Formats: sequence, C-alpha cells, structure tokens
Amino acid sequence: MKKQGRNVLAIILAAVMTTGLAACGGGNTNSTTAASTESKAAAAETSAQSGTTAAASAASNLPSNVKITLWTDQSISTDAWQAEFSRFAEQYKSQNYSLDIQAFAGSDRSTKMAAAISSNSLPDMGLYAWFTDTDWCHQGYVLDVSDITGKVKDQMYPSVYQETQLNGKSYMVPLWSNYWGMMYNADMLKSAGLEKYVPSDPNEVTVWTMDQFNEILKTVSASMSGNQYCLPLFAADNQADTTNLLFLTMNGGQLWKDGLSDAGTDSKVVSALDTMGGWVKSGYTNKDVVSKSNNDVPSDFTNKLACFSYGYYSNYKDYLKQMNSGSIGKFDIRIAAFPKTDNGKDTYQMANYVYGISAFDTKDTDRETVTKLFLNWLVNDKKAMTDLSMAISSIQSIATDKDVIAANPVFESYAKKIDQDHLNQFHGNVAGYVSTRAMLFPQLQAYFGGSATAQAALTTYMDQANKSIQNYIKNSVILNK
Amino acid sequence: MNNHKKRRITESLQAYAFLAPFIILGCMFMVYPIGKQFIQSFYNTKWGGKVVFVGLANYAEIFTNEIYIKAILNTLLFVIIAVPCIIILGLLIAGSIFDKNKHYVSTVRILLYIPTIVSMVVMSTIWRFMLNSQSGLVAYFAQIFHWKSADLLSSSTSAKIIIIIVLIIVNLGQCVLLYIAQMIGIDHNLIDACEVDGGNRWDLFRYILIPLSKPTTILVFITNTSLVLKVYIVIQLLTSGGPNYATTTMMYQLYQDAFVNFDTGVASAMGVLLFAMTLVLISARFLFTSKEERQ
Repeated sequence: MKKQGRNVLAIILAAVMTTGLAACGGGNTNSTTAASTESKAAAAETSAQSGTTAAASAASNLPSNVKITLWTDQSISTDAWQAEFSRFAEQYKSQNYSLDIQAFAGSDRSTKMAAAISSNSLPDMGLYAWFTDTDWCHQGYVLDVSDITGKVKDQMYPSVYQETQLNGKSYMVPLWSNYWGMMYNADMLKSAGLEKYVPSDPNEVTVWTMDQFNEILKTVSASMSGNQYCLPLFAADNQADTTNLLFLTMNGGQLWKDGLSDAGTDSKVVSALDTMGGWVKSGYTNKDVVSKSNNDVPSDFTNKLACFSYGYYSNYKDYLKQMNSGSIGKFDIRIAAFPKTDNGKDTYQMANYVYGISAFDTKDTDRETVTKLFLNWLVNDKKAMTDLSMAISSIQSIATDKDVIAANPVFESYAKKIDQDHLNQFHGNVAGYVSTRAMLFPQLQAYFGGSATAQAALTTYMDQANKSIQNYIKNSVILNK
Repeated sequence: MNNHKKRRITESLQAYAFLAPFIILGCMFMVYPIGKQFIQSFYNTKWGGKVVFVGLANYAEIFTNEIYIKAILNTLLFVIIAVPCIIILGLLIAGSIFDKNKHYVSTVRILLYIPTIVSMVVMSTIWRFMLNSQSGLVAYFAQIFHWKSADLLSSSTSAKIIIIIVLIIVNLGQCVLLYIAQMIGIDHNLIDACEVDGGNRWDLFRYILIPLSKPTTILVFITNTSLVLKVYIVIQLLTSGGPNYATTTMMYQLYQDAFVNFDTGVASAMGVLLFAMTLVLISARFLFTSKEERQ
C-alpha cells in the first residue's frame, strides 16, 4: 500500500507539474485564444439573448456578432475611430459589429505582420502608408477593393486613386495624403542673416532654389558652434529613407525606370550622391552620417542642435503641440519642400505618403464582409472622412473645405504649391519596393564611409534591388493572375 | 526476482513521470520547432500563403549571395575572437583574485556580473548613447584628446571591434563566476605544494589552475560559443548590421529574412546552418578532452 501510495503521489505530482508548466507556456497564443474564446462566448450570449437577431440577420443575409480588427502604425485617436465605427455599427444594430484597434510603432510593423502571416492571424484591416503595403499585395495577402474605391473615384484626387492601384486594381482605400518634406528652424536662418529666405506667412510652404539652399547650408553652418550642424544626413538604417531618395533625385535623376531601379545608370542620381558627399565634407551636415539614424534627428532638431529635420504634416503638428504644451522649447518651425533642378530649371518636390486602409485576406468570409461594409460606409461618409483624416483628405471636397483649411492653414499653401508636378512617387510603385529598402542604406554607408564611390555604391544598390524586384515580378500573385 | 523486477519497473516509471513534463514541453517547444524549421528550409512560403517545395534552393541562395556569405564570415569572426578572449580574460581575472579576501572577491564578482544580468536592450542603448559621435562619451574624449574622428560605428573595423568588446563585457561576468567557483574548490595542498617547490604566481596559474579548470573551460566554451552565435539584439540596436553589412551576423540576417522580407524558407535554412555550426563548434571540445575522459 505504501509503495502504491508513493506511485500515486508521484503520478499526481508529475501531472500537476505538467499542467502548471503548460498553463504558463504559450504566452500570446493563450491570450489570443482567450480573446477569441471570449468573443465567441460573448457572441453566443448576445445571440441567445436577442431572439430577433437570428431572424433579422437571416433576413438581411449579413453576418452577425462580428468583431473586426484594425492595425496601424499611425498615432491615430482610437476614441475617434471607435466613435465613427459606432456610427457605422448603428446602421447594423441588430447584427452587433465591433472594432478592435491595435496601434504600434512603425518599426514594429514588419515584425507584427510577418508573425501574423506565419500564424494565419492577419488583421482584417491595416491603416498604413501605401508603399509599405505593396509587398503584401504582391504576396497575395491583400484583398481587391476596386468595388469600393471605384464608386468614389471621381471624388478622389486622381493621383491618389491611381497611386493605390496595382495591375489596374485597387488594393487600398486611400484616406489621406501626407507630404514628406523638410522642416526647419526659421530662427536659425534669421540669426544667420537669411531673413530673405523665410516667408512672412508662417503657414507658407517654403520653396528655395538649389543655389539658395546651398547658400543657406553654408551660411547657417558658419553661424553654428559646438555640436550644432545645419542639415542632418543619415544612413544607419532604412528609417525615413524617403529623405535620401528625394536628395538622390535633386539633380533631376530618376530612381525607377520601366519598373526597375535605374539608380546606378542615371548620372544625375550619381551626381546627387556626390553633392550630398560634398555637403558632408564642407561641414554642412553631421559628421556621423554612417551611424546616424533618422530616429536621432528629431531630438537634435528640438534641442536646436540641427537647423533642419524631416517629416510630414502630422510631425509638424506634433511639434507645434509639444511647443504649446511646453514639452519642447518654442522656435519658429516651418515646412519646406526639397529643392531640385530638372534640366537646369529650378523646381522643388515633396514625397507623397498616401495613407489608407487595406483589407487583408483573413479567409473569414463574415469578417471580410463586415470589413468591406465598413470601408464602403467610411469612404462615402463625409463626417468620418473629415474627422479621421490626419492630413490632406483623399476626397477633394473635404481637402478644400473652408473649415478644414481654417483648422489647417498650411493646407492652403499645399494646394497652391504642391501639385502632381511637385510630388515625387519615390517608390515608383515597383514590385518589392519594401524589400529594396534594406539594400539602399548599406550602400550609402559604403559611400559615406569612404569604401565605395557614388557610382559603385549606387550600381551595387541597383543590381541588388533589381534582383529582388525581378523575383517579385516573377512570383507576384497580382501580376501573374 | 519478480519483486525486484517490479520494483525496477516502478522506479523507472516514477523517473519517467517526473521527466514527462520536460520531455513533453521540450518536444513541443524545442524538438518540434527545430524539426519544422528543418522541413521549412526546403520550402518557399512567401507567395499567397502557398507552400512550394524548392529543394536546396534556399541553401543555394545562402551560399551564392554575398550578403549571406558576409553574415556567415562575420559570425565566425566574432566566435573566433570573442570566445577565446572571454575564456582567457576569465581565467586571468579569476586566477588573480580567487584566493584573496572574500569581500574583495565578492565585490569584483558583482561588478563583473552586472553587465550579464542587465538587459541586452538596455546595454545596447547605453552603448549607443556612449558612442554617439555628436554628444556621447566617446565624442567628449575625442574633443579633449583631439582625436580625428569620434564616429567608431562608421568604420567596418571599429564597428566589429565594438561589437566584440560588448560581447566580451556581457559574457565575462558569468565566466569569471564559474572560474572562481572552480578555483576556490581546488585542494589547497596543491597550491601549498607549488609554493614549497618555489613556484611563483604564474607557475601556479599555468601548472595548477589552468589544468584543473579544464571542465569549467569546456563549459564556458560551449555556453559562450552558443551565445555569440546567437547575437542579435546588440547588432540590431547598435549597428543595424552595418556599416555595409560589416556586422551582419547569421542571426541578424535570419531575423531580417523572417520578419522583414517574409522569406521564412531562407530564414529556416539559415537557422539550420546556425544549428549545424553550433553543433560542429561545440563538438570540437572533444579535441581538448583526453581519451580516458571520453571513455
């Protein structure tokens, strides 16, 4: 009996240990499982409670008790989005729809999406910049939403509508455009005696010729001391590499040609990189270009170590908010376009970040149905499109609305100065653009580190990028349908 | 006899019952993922969720792509330099202090072990602040001593040296801890005999401490080889694999393929190679053990 008792105790102890360890393991899987179980239970309970639900949903042929998810790397107001979703869900009250929002840093986007793809747990919607979406489109994870965008095509800016198309079909419902440009400390220009290059209207987008820009770099740099520098340049990683792409096209060069990279063969792109190198050698920029990331630039800008920074309208608004709240010291912050010459003629450019929602292929027809219902409602609801827009709405009537412009005076200047001719489609809508981002910064490091010439660095980048692009073209689910 | 056999079976069952949790969970979270990774390395899963058998194409990609070859060579370089440095420094430090005042030994142990227990993210961030060429500690000394450049992360050579230094600092503490524990346990008669025979500190170190610390050396070699092969966080936060792939390692490239390029097939192949490399390097310990020890 004693021995049997010991055996039983041993087995019980082993079982308890196994159960305890199994309960501790799993981490996120458990929480996801718990969440889905909870939602299913809630759905079942709701279904059981409302006796007319089944009849109503059967009559309407719409799914009931559906929760859809929205992932985003933007600093959106989740309250505002929930409020607008509630307005949508009100129309389908008996169906009981709800929205779960997850916001995270842009640097986490790839990792989260990769994990979601691997585990078949894609979100229903992703609110991202279009250029970050394209690889997923080619890989076949994004749904065609042409039926939604086609209905509002005439209301949208044509460039925005076309931007979010691949092979003639729409893969994103564009919500707003954010123009990527420069921001600068106008006080520093004035201190250096360059008031003439600062517009009197603080809401005017500043435009300089290339000669004027060079003069600003030289004069402001000469007026600086200690650790200060005028123009940030960075190549540590792919963060804000749009800035580098815009500088590389400042001599009128083309990065993309016939769907492939042309960076190494376009002499104007090569000369632009040499121009950037010249700025570094002349002391107009930070010395640590190779190891500097754009993540380090905002703190230099707000601490008045740098005269320039980069970003779009949302970043500009954030800086103003921080100044008003006292988080950062106040200074005269302005928006500027990147200077450019094109065949000897002075012009300027900004990059267009089109933000919108893509619907992902979750293989759940109920969720996909509700997702499309919501997107269809959203793009047709003026109030929602206005309230949720973080920059220039893709709907022309909203973008030019008097109240919107009154709340965002810079928009008037954007409308006057930034048209299709001054917007750089920096990604070329090439297949596999996101994958090529990992290839540019190492070659810029090679150039700024002195181990490669501009020609060699850009040729290596071009060859590596084209290998990836051609792989995408060969395997793209969209292009090979 | 029957009772004896029954007893043996019962005892075995008890042992397996206690081992069961580890075996079950080990299979679920270690054996299965390794096996799955091995199988996945022969497939391409990037396009439309389809799983396509590609044979050895993923391995061919690794051995023909310049970036992957650089990653493999960088990884081997870090192991070949960092691991011996950790062992040698660990031996020297432990050998210098093991027989000193116990409070002194404890203080040195704690100071050296702090980098080991600090999160790698925190460690890498602190190093990034120190190495900031505009406002970091290095920049400050560069100004005082009129150095030409304070940007240590912009040169391939200095970036590699920085990574190796960080790896040594992070792993040295544990090594010293193990060696001190080993050396404290050495029979004092041997140490006294060395003194009596006219041996100095170096003779003690060379003829007694090092040979008797061989088991610890093997353990330190295995653990540190594994740790250096898996280095990722310090690369991600300090250099992002640069400049120009100079500090890209196999684990860093594996992460890029799996989570940035969504190329799980190539990432799995890289993982299999890393696993094989770890096995080969760790199995090399047999070169340092005597035939009798192996038997």
